[in-house]
Amino acid sequence: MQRSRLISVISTVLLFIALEVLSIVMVSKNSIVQRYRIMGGVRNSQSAMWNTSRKVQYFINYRVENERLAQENLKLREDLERYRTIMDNRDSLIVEPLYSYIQARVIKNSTNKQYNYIILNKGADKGIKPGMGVITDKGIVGVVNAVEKHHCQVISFLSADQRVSAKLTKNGSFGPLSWNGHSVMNAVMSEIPAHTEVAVGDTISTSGFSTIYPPDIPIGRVAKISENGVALDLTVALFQNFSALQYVYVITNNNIDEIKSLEESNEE
Amino acid sequence: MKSNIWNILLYVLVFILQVLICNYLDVGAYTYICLIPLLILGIPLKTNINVTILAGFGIGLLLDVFSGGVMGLNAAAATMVAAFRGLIYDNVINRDHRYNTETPSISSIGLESYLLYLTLCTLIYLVVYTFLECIGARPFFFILFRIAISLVIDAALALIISNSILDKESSN
Repeated sequence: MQRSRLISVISTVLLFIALEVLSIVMVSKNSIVQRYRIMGGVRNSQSAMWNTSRKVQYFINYRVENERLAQENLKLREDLERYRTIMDNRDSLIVEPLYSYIQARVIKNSTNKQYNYIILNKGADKGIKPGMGVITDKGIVGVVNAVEKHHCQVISFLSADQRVSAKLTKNGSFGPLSWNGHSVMNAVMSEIPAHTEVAVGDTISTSGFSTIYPPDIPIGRVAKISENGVALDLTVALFQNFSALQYVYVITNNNIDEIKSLEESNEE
Repeated sequence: MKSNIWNILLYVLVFILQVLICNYLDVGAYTYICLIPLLILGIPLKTNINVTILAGFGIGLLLDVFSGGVMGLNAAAATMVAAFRGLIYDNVINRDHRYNTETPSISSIGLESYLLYLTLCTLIYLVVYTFLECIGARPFFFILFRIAISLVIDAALALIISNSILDKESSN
């Protein structure tokens, strides 16, 4: 009797440990992507549901006007990129823009978790690939993580493990920028040398030290300066309100293969 | 029989409500609204512990799939609550009650005992969930603050739902 009770207790403990370990393994893999790929049917029905609810919201929010403005922004952004490339390559006859943009609409956006994500209505059929950056005219949004034919998933900048290389626009001092986890409107820029001249209200923009985001995309303004040993931590008020995301641009770095091949040859 | 089916339907409705809350309600970074402990407490006490643990894991995993975010967070927390709810009930509430009531409710064990039972189970859930989500990424005080705020809101919400819908039905 006692032996069967012991076996029963051991089996319960083993079951409990097995399920907890399984859960923690899933968490450690941060498996947003895993769910996205495995749960195809669920995801498709969810996408349809989110699409419908978003459509209602867009109808209320002057969808047509927004669409027109987004297209216009896309064209202006491409023009700007073209001119910027021409300026950088004045000695060359053949000029191809370094970055091009794909306009997309947000159909699902979470902001209240520590690891947030966004679903866009464009996918592999429009040329979107994992690792591409996502921005708006008001700042950075995140990085494409998983791609399906008609949709893609973006790891939001509002995630605990997201870091962006940013700089103080006025003097170029750079450091990593990450979400502070508290408010959707604030981020923290750290590792700024203490001697750096910085004031509340200064603009922060992307540094361009990555293949994901082009340089000089405005991100936010310095809202608070605090000392952290020999460095400064800057609280940044983001320009982009993540709760109101509607249209975004997915960035294609046209030289990505070349840069990656250089990086790989350096590693060797 | 009809009452049992109606009860199950009510719990399914609570689950749907939880999914909708996770997907559409933005309550800020300091609060996680979770009604899952309420569903786990709805599993009859006489149910085999292994079945309860599996059911807890299943409910948590299902919520992870439907709600977005990191897979395994709700599964780990719900499994923990399912494993320990019997111990909590026996040691903190009253061992004798286990044989008098199938599913503890306000009407069967009283408001104070039920609130204590519900709060402890919700606390376990939130501790596991919040630590797994934030550990290494957020300061310790942020985690504690988040657990405290969420606990107050979740326990109050669960009590309201339990009192107004679930308990009313079980007493009928």
